Amino acid sequence: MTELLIGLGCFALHVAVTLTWLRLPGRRSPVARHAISAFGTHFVGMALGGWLMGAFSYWPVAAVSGFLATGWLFAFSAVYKSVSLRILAQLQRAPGHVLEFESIAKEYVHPEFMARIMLLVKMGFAEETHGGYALTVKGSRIARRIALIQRAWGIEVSGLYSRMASPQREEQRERSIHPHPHDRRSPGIIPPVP
Amino acid sequence: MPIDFVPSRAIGWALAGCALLPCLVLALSHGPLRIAAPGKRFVSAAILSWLSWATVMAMLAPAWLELLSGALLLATATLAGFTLWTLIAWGFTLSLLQALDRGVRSLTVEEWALVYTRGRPFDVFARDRLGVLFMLGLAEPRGRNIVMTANRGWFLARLAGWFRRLFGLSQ
Repeated sequence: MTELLIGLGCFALHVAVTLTWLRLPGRRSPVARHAISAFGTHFVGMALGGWLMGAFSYWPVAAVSGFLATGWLFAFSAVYKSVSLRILAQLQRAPGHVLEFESIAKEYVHPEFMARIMLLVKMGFAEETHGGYALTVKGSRIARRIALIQRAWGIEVSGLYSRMASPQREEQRERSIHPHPHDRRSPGIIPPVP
Repeated sequence: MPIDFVPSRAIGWALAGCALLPCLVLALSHGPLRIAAPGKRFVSAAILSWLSWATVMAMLAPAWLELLSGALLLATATLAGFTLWTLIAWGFTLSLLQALDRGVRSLTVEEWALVYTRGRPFDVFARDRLGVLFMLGLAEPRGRNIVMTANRGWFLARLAGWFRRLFGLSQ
């Protein structure tokens, strides 16, 4: 029981530190702040727990604080980056909770695409050129490393939840959203390269 | 401050279950056991790890604290593994970077989007992300419109909004 209390104490400390630190300006990424806080508060919590409550077993403490900290990071990552949750938030704000598909693609998804491009530029992985954007040496190195990891884990196509290799499935989904073929194209659609 | 760092037998088996998870994902990624869909592959590996652990626990019958700690350790590994898996399998920003790497020269935004979606209209990406909402019952298509579902969609949107405020993120 002592272990559970110490684990919960470590997590409470982690919550307090992250909620404060995430609001402060700085160059360190939010995920790095989460990780540093999780490890830091784990060790501080254990030291305090041992001092206040005496002898205890380490692994139950690690299990409780580790699980809660991972869940906390998972919740943060979901609301921080998920495009699907962003769309859901826009639907909640819309009158009647309804939005046209074209409006979602053009006003919410395309800006998200641009935001990620800007993020890659800011991180030094891509740079603006006369004709558009190009990879930097750093970006190229990272992209190849990711490709190696994906190959090792048998991931062939990444980026989309649906299998890109199945055009029939795409066509079915397209029909479910656009029952009339002439409605398919929208101002937000980028024409295919010949 | 005496802290016992030596894991008990039950905890040791839970740690073995944690180590088994990536090994199983790897085993299901290649060869005759390969499961093509990345989502199903991870879920299958997670189920097998949990079943292996549960089988050993049924034989050991440990004390409740040991059992709870073991379950939490395995849950941590599953959640952390899933987070990393989503990044390498479906990560938006990483995939964008790789799309730029596939381009032979510098790309305009439009060309970049096309390389990302492998030559399909950009709407494919929007539909893909909406597909998650449909699959989870958070929204549904009605003709040309997308409608948030009254119960599940509303609840999750509120919860996500609450978490965004809690984390100090803009709405």
